Amino acid sequence: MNDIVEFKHATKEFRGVPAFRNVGFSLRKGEIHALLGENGAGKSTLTKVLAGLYPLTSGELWVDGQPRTFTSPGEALAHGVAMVFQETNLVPSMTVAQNLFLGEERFFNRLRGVNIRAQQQLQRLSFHVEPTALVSSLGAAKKQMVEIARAVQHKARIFIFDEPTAALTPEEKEHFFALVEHLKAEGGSIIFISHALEEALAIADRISILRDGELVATDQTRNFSKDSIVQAMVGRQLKDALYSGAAAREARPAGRKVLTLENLSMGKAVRGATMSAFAGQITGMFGLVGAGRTEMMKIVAGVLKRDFFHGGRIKLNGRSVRFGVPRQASRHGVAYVTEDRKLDGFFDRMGIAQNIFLGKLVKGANPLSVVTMAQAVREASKWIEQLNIRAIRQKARVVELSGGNQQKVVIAKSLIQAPQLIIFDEPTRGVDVGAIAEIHAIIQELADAGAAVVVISSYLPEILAISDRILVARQGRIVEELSIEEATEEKIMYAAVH
Amino acid sequence: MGLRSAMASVFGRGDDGALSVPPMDGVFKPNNRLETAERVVEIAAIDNLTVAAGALYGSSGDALMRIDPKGGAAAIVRRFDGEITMLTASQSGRIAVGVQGAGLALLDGAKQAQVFDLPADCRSCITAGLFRDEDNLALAIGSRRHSWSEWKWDLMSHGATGAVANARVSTGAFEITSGNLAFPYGLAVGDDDCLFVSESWRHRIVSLPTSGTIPRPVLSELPAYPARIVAACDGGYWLAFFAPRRQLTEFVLQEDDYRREMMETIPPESWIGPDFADGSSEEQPLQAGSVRQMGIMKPWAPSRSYGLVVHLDRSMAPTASYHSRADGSTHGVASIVEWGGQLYAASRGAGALIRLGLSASAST
Repeated sequence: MNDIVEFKHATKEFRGVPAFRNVGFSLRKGEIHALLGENGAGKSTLTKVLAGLYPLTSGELWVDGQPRTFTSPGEALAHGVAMVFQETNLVPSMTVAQNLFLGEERFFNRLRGVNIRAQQQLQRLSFHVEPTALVSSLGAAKKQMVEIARAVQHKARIFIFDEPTAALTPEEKEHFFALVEHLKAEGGSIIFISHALEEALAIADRISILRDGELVATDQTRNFSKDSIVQAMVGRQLKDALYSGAAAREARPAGRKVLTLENLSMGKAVRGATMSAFAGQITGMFGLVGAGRTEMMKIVAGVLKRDFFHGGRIKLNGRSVRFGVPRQASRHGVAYVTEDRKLDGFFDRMGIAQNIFLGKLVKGANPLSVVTMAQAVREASKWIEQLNIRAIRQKARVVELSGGNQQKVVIAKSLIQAPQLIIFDEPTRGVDVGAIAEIHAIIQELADAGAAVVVISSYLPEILAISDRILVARQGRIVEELSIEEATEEKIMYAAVH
Repeated sequence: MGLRSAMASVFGRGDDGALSVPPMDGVFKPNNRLETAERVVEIAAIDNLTVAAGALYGSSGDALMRIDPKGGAAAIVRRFDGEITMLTASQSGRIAVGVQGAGLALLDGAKQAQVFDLPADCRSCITAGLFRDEDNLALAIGSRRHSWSEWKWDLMSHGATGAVANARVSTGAFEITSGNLAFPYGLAVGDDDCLFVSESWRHRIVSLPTSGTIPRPVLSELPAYPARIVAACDGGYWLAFFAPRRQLTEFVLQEDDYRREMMETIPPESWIGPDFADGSSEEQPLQAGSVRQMGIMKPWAPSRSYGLVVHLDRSMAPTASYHSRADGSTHGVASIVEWGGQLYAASRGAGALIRLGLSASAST
């Protein structure tokens, strides 16, 4: 047996919600093992347990034939496990050499000596990176090289790459694959998480597929094809009644065209996106990480700015618009419900009513008018009642609410603006099942009332359950449109990865 | 060119500068229904379908033809002195024929034609006609500066000299009711007796009220160049589009110097711009380049021609569409007619009369 890492009946739960359940996963010595699955399938969480970021809720993790429980990334690294994130953890204002030896500084450091040691280390790995270069001046691939060199410096033998190629150019990708092969030749073992199936098929020795937190397939790469991987990734049984009514539902007819994106571009994230959204209809947007869905809609909402030169055109009700800040978008009837409510959605120390009323202030109140707190509460109360926002006490702060109720506060903050176009970005992420049903009902009611609704979701059953039409994004573009009658999970996923 | 539009052109920003076209999505989502529809009969350059006295008529060049769609046969009824640019029929079966260079001819069942006298600048580009009653004939004059066969010149010179006029058959009176239109190509009557006009170069349908002449857009930002619009039996309308809008064409339409030189030095059939057919010439841009390949459209290889027919409801909202995509050949549909529970479309690109069964619902 040459398994260097083994998960045995491993389960990880967050507040009772399992990220993965009863997973048996092994990594062999000198192997490249691709870990595939939809967003939220549990891939990253599984590897983060191995990297010491989370402990297991139950089950065992064996490394080098010994049961281990890593309590920190440092402890995992001490046992040879290093995780290389998509966003590297390097200090951009320091040189490559300084980053390599960060945390290992001697009492007296000689910069020349550090540079020479770094040069030796990089040469040994055949990485063509200048040790004296500032990290901020490096491209994504070279940053990854430095990250890997740092891991090797710490005597890492097990490397975890989470979406390593998402930010790389095709040329950089080739370089990266050569680098991974090099690590393998040096005796390293690699876990490779990617949404790019062709990459997994090209470089992995074995492939494992997670679906809804369960390991559904592990086999030699030669036994997989793109189609069989997609089938395994999405072939879930729709057990959950929450999403089972999709097939029976009739799509709403399209009303007037409210939003049009024409050739929208923003750096590498959005590259010539073209789409429309119609009144009285829910337009579902699916895509894998890095597909650019959120960025497209954030540009519409004025959160991000499109390219200054040839950034394309956004039309609202047939008229070109360019919003510099979200406030302008709000005043034009565009509301964006963020995917990261804790960061962007609300002020956690403020009360429910105060947060909701902020939405009204954003839309633009008369600067000469005075609004008392009682008026604000009265206004917000309508929405608290309508959306059934539940709190332990009347004056509870938003931070004290459950995830579902927090999300409803964020939604209410948008609805109080009476938007004509409302964009939901991952509206049910981190929300309990009961609240999911309520949030779905709110979204449906909005469309029934004539608003144009865009729902971005990474969860296929959700997209299928609530959308009237489905757009699939890939690499910054809309690459497919499916009517609800023709859409299946396989078709959507196929469009998202091909 | 003003400073504002010059800056917009350099930066590619704003309505003047952004090189983009409306997406073909939603109801306009491409399918192959037009391409796979039945081809009833092949007639080169078929156009101008109309139904008169229980028979289907069409034109091919200077020939007025009576078409038997069941038998797939066509017979020449009469030839004219110029290309036929418009056909329409009244309830009683009177046929009005627009003839390039000659103006308007009226046929009363028999083969004898009565020539209707029109102003000189309205004779050569009658693009659509509609009998509002037996005496009043509404006419769309595509351009008062260019003839029908010079439509590309009109587009490339940003022509907006089109007009809608009313001709009284009994008295010979002729009156322009609305001018400065950018190539009006189709006419239909609305619920409140207004006229719907497809304004091709502005990619929109406008409504002309009975009183007043200011056109009001009722359907704009269309992804292709609209042509004829006809009433559907369900109370809605059928709208034909003769060519697609492409980024490259929009670019050419913005670049005045380039366009001027192109018009001066290159024959119109090779201009970068919309067309009725792909031309099947190796000198033309690759038509198939517009087909989605690996999920990516290729803007550098845009197709010039396309086949598109759209159903609109009473309020002019699109409800269904029939397409022949860049890799097809049923392109350049400028004329349609609903008759006997079937929709007939004249494809100039394919040189064929197409029959679409209306029982099968189109893509929505």
